[in-house]
Amino acid sequence: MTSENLKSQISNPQSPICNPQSPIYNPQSPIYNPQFFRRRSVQERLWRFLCYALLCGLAVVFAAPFYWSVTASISGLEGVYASPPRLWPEELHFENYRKAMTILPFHLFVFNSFYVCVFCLIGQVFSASLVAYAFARLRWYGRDAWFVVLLSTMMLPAQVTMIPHYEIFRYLGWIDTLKPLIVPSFFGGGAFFIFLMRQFFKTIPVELEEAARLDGCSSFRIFWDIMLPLSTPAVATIAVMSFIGHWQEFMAPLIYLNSFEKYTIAIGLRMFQSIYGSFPHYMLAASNIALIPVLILFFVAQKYFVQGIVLTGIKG
Amino acid sequence: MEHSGVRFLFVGLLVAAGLLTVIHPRPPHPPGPKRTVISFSFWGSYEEWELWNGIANSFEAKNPGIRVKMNYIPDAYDDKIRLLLAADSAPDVMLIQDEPLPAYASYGKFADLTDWVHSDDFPGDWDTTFWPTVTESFTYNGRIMGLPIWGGDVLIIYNRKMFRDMGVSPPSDDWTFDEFIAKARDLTRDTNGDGEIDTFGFSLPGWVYFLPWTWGFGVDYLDASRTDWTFTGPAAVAATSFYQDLRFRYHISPSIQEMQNSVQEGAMFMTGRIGMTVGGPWNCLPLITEGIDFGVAHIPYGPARERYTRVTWDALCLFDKSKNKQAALRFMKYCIGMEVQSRIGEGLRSIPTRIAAGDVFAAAGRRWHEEKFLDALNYGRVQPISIQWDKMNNVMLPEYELLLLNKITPEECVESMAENIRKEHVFPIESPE
Amino acid sequence: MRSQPERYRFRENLQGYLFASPWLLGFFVFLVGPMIFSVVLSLYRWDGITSFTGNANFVGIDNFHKAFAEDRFFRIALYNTFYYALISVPLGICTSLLLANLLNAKLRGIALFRTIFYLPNVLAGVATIMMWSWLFNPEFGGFNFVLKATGVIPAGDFLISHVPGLKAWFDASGITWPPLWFADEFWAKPAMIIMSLWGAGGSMLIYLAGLQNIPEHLYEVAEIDGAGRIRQFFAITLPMLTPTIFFNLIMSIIGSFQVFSQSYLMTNGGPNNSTLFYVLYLFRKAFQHFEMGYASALAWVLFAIIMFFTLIVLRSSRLWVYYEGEKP
Repeated sequence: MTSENLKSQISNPQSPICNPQSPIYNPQSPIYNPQFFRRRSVQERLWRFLCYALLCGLAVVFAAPFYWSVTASISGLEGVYASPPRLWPEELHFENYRKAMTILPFHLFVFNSFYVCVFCLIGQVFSASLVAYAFARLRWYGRDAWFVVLLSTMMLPAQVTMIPHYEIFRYLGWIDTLKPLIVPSFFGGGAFFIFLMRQFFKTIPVELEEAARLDGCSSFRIFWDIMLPLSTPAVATIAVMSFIGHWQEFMAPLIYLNSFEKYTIAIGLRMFQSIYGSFPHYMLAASNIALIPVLILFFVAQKYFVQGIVLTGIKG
Repeated sequence: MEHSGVRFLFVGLLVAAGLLTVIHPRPPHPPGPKRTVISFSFWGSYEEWELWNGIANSFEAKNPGIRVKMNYIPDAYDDKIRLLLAADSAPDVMLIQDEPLPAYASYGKFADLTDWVHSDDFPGDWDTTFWPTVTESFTYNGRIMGLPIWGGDVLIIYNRKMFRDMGVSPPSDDWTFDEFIAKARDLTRDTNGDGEIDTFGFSLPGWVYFLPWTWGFGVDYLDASRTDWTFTGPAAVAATSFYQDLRFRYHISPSIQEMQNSVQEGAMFMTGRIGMTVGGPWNCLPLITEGIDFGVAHIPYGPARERYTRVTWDALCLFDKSKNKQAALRFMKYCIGMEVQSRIGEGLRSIPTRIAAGDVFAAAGRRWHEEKFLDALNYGRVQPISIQWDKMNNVMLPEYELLLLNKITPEECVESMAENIRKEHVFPIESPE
Repeated sequence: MRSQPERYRFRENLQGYLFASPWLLGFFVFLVGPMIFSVVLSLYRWDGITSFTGNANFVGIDNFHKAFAEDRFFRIALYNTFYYALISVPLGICTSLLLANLLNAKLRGIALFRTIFYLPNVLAGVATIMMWSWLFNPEFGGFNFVLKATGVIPAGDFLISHVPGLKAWFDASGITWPPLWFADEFWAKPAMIIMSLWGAGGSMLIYLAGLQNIPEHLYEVAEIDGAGRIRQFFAITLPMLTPTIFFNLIMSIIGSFQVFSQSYLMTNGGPNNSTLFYVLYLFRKAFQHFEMGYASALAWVLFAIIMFFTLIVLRSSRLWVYYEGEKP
């Protein structure tokens, strides 16, 4: 915490805080009072307790549906519809998981989903950041007008462009392949991610870039060696959102794919429901299994949500 | 450090992508001589997937020159079919419900089968091979637009255990609306004495399931040509009033509040909180699997001393722009042959359209329930479906919602429905706009 | 020969276009055609199934006229969508902002908490629908349970039975208490708004990423100067987050005006058209009523509305968005 850092700096007579000549020296600051840190640690503890309490309370609220999904997936058909919903199922049916995996050609669907998601991830991360760099830092004629056009591509409901889109892909011969799902990700990857990266790039100090240019770096080197590494949290965000988005995507695969063996997991899950009768316990079991890679990815991505480099010394 | 992080990610992903392009768990394409390929679309759960795969395999075994490519659409079936029809790349054979048929037929997307059906190629005689109402349901403007393969009617499904426990006699074969109300009232009780009613006599999934009663009052929504709205007058008000009374005056159906206190209407029947409901053979299968003691009763006679039940059929339709019409017709012909119809009957989920397969259907179940469903086909009646079915539904549903919340009277409901049907240009239907 | 600055300018332009070329190419190949086609379509009457060249009728701006002058569902849909957007956007921004700050705390196990809060976004498809139906169950659904436990429902019951006239008003207007959520005209939209808050995980993630970019030393200096936590939030966190807030604000506006799948999958516009949102109505017109031309006209009206609000935010951004990286 900040206070720890300050505490160690205060006790070190060499640090800038103790040096009256340093610009951050503030003689009126309360931190020179020895009582300050004792009071602070009490405050810290209170604050920490409050945070934990709030987090736990909200976590219960946010996790409850998932908890229901897990318990319902190991109960029988009657258990799923039990009213009121039971805290723990009466009979345990762990074989729901085995059945769900054998009824569906799980390996096929998961492979297809992985295939689409990995390629889309690569495509979106890199093409979105390339284009975002152009919008954020480079100056080119018509840039601001094109930015408005970029935003406007998200404003038209997809329903009215569905048929022409289908016709385009049919003309290219890509119907019933995975190409319509993957290729658009390499062409900018969607206005959402471009806009997101643009915002992040704009928060990176221009001075870094100027210094690099003085050293003779080309735009691409600046992009690759400076902008991208400093935007690791944003890149991680795009990676997570892209993967999860394509993992769950249902409409596009349904429209463009006809062959059963090319279906993704999102379509596969629908095989457990029909107008003749649904199998919610199998469906929940299958969707919980499908959740696992996503959760792992999210957990791993947390590592990249680290503080950016400390920029002391850049300003003044 | 973050530097190498992003690069590492990139390299790792490239390696993963490279691996993915090489490893393919896709089942290999069966080698063989060049065959005509027809595509076939259908909906359903994995059970229907298995059923149709079996049918396609046996068809291919009998017709080695044709391959059936399955286009299984597990969800949003109508949306995808409409898109494919608009893009002129629809499957050769499509499984179609009766509700969207008039619209598709009016837009000329389905092939006219009338001549083929009356030719020698057709296995059997169009007029006598099928149950009554089957031939009517897929005829549009006198032209036959689809070959019905399965479907069914709806009857009253009741919880036999509940009847026994509460000492109510089971329905007779020719009971009336009044007897129906009386029995339902007997079943509506507060079983644990907490002041709230726990079991209800009757519940309906939607207004379409109420059609047998509407017809029992002697009125229908559309006329025979399906171009005019006829749901007006005292009979219409009587039917609407009965629908509302189920919930309020007789209180044999749970109100929205009471129904919301459980998860689903179907679940309420399965958990023994509702005594009677309306359903078809497809609703009986889960009940059999779950071991629920249920019975099936005929629709009661209405005040006009008539009774009807609602029939619904699904058919195979041929895409008008198909390039392999002959092969497709072969497949469709196979599906209305005895082999496939028997398989459908064995599945117990729907009634096969071929009369001859009726016995297979009855034998597959407990016989007495299935025979009731087959008997009831004699007084079956086709749902009033027009080209603008969805539009009609969109107008009717909010009115029924208000009615069932007791916010409007039956007279207001009937009037408002008629007015809105006119305003929304549901008719005339020569120019669908 | 070109002068230095001119050559530099040309090179910069070229670089700009080069970097942006993936998106520009994609735009011209995949997006421009369909967009222009739908503009043209809005001037026609077409059923969307038969071939366009033979069967479409040119009607000019009649589609637009019909929407504004004659179509009562258009007005209903517009009202529902505005209601939803105007409430869910500010609410969503505040909630995800606060949540992200909470989740930025350097507590042990914070990664686990972040995963839990992101869970609703991750649960896919039909499982989500079942989950929401259960959550909004009036008797023992999660939401009413919380309301009961925190005393909101008992408080409401107390007020209704003791405040004169309140019960009569509730009965007359048909509003239910405890709320029946998706079965009640009045509560259905608030239920949808609450559903959207639950999905705050997406924007929360983006705020989290934005929070990482705020340099630690700013907080240190503020602490030296004696600023408390709250003061630090308003003086440092919020201004530094404005680029992210700007992003989320625009994306929320664009997204909330196009709300569709919840009402399509769960309520189908009911009860009594209270959740008939604009895009759902558009979808019905296009794919169920066979009025594709009219639906395209509706789409462009929506486009204009969204563009209007977005431009307001864009223009105003100069006043309140602070980009640390750029010169003041």
